[in-house]
Amino acid sequence: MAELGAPTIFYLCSAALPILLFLIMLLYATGLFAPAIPALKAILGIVSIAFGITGFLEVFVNGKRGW
Amino acid sequence: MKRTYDLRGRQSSIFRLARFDPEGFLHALIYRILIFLSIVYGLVLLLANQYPQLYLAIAPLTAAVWILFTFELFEFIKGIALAQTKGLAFGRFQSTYREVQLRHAPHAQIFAFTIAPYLAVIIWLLGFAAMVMWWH
Repeated sequence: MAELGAPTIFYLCSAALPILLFLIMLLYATGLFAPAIPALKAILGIVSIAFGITGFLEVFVNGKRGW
Repeated sequence: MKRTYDLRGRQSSIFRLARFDPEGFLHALIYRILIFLSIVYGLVLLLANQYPQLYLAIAPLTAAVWILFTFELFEFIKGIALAQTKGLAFGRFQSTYREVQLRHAPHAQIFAFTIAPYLAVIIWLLGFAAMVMWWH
């Protein structure tokens, strides 16, 4: 399961994390959609943890084949 | 699990990359750091409402994640560029083969994919500067 699911989630989180960070920064800077910021921060928190966990599975569980 | 070796040493050691693939070494090192940092960052973001003293940690953690992610963003888009152009952008082909492939390849697309990672990093770093200026 780790071999099939973790890489996909990892790559999705790799894309989502910078997008969310950038989006939250833009919303803070422009003041637009301010009520959405707490929800976006919560989503960023979840994506960040998912990135870390799936990255851990990729590197320390799946990634023993070497370079 | 069986450890594999080649003429350059143990394959699972990322430090050997520093000799022959410094970019790969940086990429592997930074995303190993980001693995743990992003879990801490996510937990701080989610628990900051319950434990207000965690708000102090959000700014430095955001800055650290943002800076470290710069290189990963570059590598991520570079990987997409490699795949989409079948190696004509950022690939390491033998020069004669590359020349033959380029004759029939869409040059505009290859150019766009070649500059895409650099553009993304510039926008990303501008965003970091904006974040530092507007953080309140």
